[in-house]
Amino acid sequence: MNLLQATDLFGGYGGGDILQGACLHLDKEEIVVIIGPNGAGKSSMMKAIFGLMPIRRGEVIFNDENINRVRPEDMVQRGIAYVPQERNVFSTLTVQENLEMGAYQLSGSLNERLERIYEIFPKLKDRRRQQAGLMSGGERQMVAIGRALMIDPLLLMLDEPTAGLSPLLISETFDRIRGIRDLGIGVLMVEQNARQALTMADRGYVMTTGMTRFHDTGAKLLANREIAEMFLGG
Amino acid sequence: MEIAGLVSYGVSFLIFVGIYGILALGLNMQWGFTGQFNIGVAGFFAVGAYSSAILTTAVSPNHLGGFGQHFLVGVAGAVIIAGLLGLLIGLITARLRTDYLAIATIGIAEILRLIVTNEDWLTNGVRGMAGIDRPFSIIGMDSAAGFLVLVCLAVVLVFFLVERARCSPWGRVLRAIRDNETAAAAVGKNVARFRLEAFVAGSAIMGLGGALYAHYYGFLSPEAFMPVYGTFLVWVMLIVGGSGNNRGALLGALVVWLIWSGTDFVTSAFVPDGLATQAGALRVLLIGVLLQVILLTRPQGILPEKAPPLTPGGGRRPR
Amino acid sequence: MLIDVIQLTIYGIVLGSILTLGAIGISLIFGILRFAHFAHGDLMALGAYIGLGFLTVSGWPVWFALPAGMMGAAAVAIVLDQAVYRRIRRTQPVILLISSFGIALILRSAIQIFWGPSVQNYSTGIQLPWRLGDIVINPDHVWIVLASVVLVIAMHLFLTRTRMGKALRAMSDNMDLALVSGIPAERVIMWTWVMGGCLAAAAGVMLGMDTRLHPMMGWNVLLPLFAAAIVGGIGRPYGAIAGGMLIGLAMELSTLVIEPSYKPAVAFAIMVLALVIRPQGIVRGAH
Repeated sequence: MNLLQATDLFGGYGGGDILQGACLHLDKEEIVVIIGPNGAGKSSMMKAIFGLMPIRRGEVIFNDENINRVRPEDMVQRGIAYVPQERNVFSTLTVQENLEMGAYQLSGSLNERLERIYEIFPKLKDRRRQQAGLMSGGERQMVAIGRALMIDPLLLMLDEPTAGLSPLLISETFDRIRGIRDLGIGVLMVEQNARQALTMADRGYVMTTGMTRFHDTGAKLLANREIAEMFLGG
Repeated sequence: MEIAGLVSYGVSFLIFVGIYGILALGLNMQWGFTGQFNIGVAGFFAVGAYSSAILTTAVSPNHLGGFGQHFLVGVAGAVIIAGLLGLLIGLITARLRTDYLAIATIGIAEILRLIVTNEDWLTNGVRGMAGIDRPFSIIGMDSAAGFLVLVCLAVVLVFFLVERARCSPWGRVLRAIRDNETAAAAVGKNVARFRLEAFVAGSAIMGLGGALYAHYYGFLSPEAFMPVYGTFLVWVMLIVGGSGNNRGALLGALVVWLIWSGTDFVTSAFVPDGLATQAGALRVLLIGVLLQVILLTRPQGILPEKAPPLTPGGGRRPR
Repeated sequence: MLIDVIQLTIYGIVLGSILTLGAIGISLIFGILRFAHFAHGDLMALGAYIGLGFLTVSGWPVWFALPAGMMGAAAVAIVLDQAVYRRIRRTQPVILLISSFGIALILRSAIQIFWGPSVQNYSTGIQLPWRLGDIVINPDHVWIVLASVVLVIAMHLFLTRTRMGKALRAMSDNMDLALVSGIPAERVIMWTWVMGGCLAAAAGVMLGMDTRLHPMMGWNVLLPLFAAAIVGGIGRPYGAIAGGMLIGLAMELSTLVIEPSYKPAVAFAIMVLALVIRPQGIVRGAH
């Protein structure tokens, strides 16, 4: 029984549908990666799941509940956290304040949660009083992901978490994501660094023109010559 | 009530409907056509009125005057000066977002009101400017009924012009800009210039309304151009009647002036004289509530906007 | 001449303190709700009059007008949002401007109906001004500036030490991310109106103390309020402090060369200058 199951999704903003029958599923403690060319609908897929894009047909089931109509602000309560690709921190708030906002809806000890995040991202603890907008790209990324982890989510959705990062930081980020999965959290990721992402993912989906065309384990997708040529640059 | 009294009231009523209708048509060119918030209508109204008055009145120790020009020169002056004022404001605010334009127009209207109130040498301040003549007295048209004919002609003329503008290619570009600015800019339209043109045209029309008011009433004082009377009523008229819609502008003028005058009737009949200003405030409150109700329930107004035919007499473009 | 400058500077600081409180409210509302609240001046006036009403009924000392006005205005602000603004911002946010213009008139008319059209005053009794040489300082001036400082500090503490205050800043910073993070938008909005209403009423009461109460008092100060907010960078409450003081000082000092009636014009001119030269405001900072 899957944690997340999206079946036959059609949806878009007015005009035509961006998603044309896309499907995916995800279990606890899995890293699932969505790759594909620009404009394939990868980010749209995540937005549809999170309620940021209207779904015209198909359904999304999370933890046995149909969440088609759930608004983004109510997703947090269900244990789904989302990190957008751009503008993913509160620039005028400090690091610690950013994290606090992540757990706004929840009662219980804020300090415990903060400490857990600082364990995963020790650098953030040193910088916790710094304004998020003044930090480097890599540090901002940590704040963004940290904010999402504050609710102890069941599912973490990341939209291109390594965009614009140096190779060293990309490796670090993927390491951390593995660590997050090992904590028992399911991770759904859209990635442009397809090769590296597939190397560490459990499973992957290849999307083109709004549909999920190929689906397999990370390793098998990497080994697939056709896919390698079309999407991974040979 | 005597018949003569009723007729005289009716004529005055219709003249005001006409003047306000013209103001509403001017506002429609700015708000309805291009989505520009002019919350300083009273300023253009005042500028038109005072310009025409100054140009046409005789020499006076109380205010600027003595040009003794003909009514039509006064009107032309009003239109041009109001249009220039619109140009000035438009140039400053051309690239600013809506809220800033609104604030700037409020500012201009307030400053104009300050000038009109304080610069006695120009306008005789709060004591007001009197002695503004009705036109065409030579042919005996200076009665109220004669002026009504004049106003009707003006309304027809302005309506004709704005309707032609609406159906023209220029009007279509304006609507495209209002509905989707980025798309219009993407096809190479100079958005700022079109907006400015519409703003200036609307301002000029409001100037005409001001001139007509000056020559009908014969007397100008800053009181008449307070935000309530000069700006707010016009906005309510446009929204109630149907914004984006020239017919709606005129219908709104009729309906709202009817309510405004009607409440005047009722309150002067039932409210003791001592509470006159309170009664006036109550009337404003009612119109204010009416606006909110319309905005909440039927924001498109009585006459919703209809897209003009793509080709004259041809089919409609789907909205 | 120097005496005049110092005297006017004192008046400017007082006026600046009052404008600051109003401008902060405008910036808070703009930052979260993304529209220029044209009824803010009249909300200030309503706060002043509610304070007056409370004093008339209770007979308590003058400074109690402040909490009374603040509570009254906050309540009115919440009602306005629930009854009118909330529905409009869900369907047609663009007409919020004209709606708030209409609300301004409704508030002004209500003031005239209940309190009449003539000038009124808080009865502060005879005040002996302090004199330093030729310079005159009213004790009220000092209290107004002090009260403003206290309120600004209180607001600062609210925005930086409370969860709701931080949520307010977060929403103003990045609305989409705030929703994604699960911050309860409607509750934050309600608090925005409470803060805006309270600060507006405080400014109104103090304006009434410094000058007098009159139904047009709110509308007359609306331009300077917006000038202060815009110069400080609209949407940035801390910028509004600099903007408020700048506009207040400019307005008072300008009377050295310009007729006092044109003070709002000075505010307007500075605002236009700011818009043309530096649309994001004079106070540096990320936004």
